[in-house]
Amino acid sequence: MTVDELLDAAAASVTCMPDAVTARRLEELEAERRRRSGIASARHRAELESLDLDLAAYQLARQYDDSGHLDAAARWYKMAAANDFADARYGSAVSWRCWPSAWPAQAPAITPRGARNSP
Amino acid sequence: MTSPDAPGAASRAQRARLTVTSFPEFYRQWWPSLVRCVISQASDTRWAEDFAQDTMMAASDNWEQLLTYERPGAWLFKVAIPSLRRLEAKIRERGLLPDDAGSAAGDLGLAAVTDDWIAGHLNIVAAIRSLPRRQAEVMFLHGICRYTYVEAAEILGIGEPTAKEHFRRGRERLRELLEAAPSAGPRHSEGART
Repeated sequence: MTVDELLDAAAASVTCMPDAVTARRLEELEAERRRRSGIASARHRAELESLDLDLAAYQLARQYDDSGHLDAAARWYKMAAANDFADARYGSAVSWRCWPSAWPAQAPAITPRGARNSP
Repeated sequence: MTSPDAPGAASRAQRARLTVTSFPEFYRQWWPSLVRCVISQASDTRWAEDFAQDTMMAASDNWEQLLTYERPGAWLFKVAIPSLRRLEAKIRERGLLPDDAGSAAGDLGLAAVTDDWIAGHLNIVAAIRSLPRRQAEVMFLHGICRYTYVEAAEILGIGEPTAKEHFRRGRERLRELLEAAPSAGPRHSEGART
């Protein structure tokens, strides 16, 4: 079978599951919901809301990136990349590479192989 | 492959919006896709069900808000995937998870024991798990859940061209992995049907 056929076959039945299985999982969810404490509920809500912060950091980085402010873009990409958001790691790497003054002070200077070390 | 932009895919999304009126109904409709998505993306399938259940709990907490969304099902993936990556990034930072998370396909057999769909499509699911993370995400959302590129990109917070490129590369890799293999067909996919 080709990859496309395998994907088609998987797609055709991905939403299918025996009713008894989904009903059992739904009951477990309801039971968990009933015994969940207020603190657990608040923690859950905070975690959910914090996802928006990653998105906001990433979008801000993209805006700085588009406007050519690569130092600021690198900082915000780094923030989003801390939680592995979207392709923030890639954006971060590109921004840092394109904006040498944003490199950490302790980073060694990179000399292209074969280049002369002029004074 | 049937195009995800075909009327079938569009009508599935529309149907999802029109028919969901209660949380139990929403749960029954989306639980299978969600848990299988998490299994196909997680480095360790042992926590996949709990993780998917946490996402459903969040959906239940935000049910009134979800009802106002154009695609309430997409919200699940929008929450589950970044949350999973965030959790794995933390675990990886502590050195408890190999950085090459996609290669962790060994424990898929455990999930296959309890889910006929996984058992029936073990080869393709294992191959998707072996892809780089972004490719695996787009492959599942577009290739299996049949979201359009635009929708998959929106769920993942990336651009549409990036989603297309991840899918193209992922499919090339899957071809290398599966089309050369002697037996890559679904094994007993009928078992997954109700």
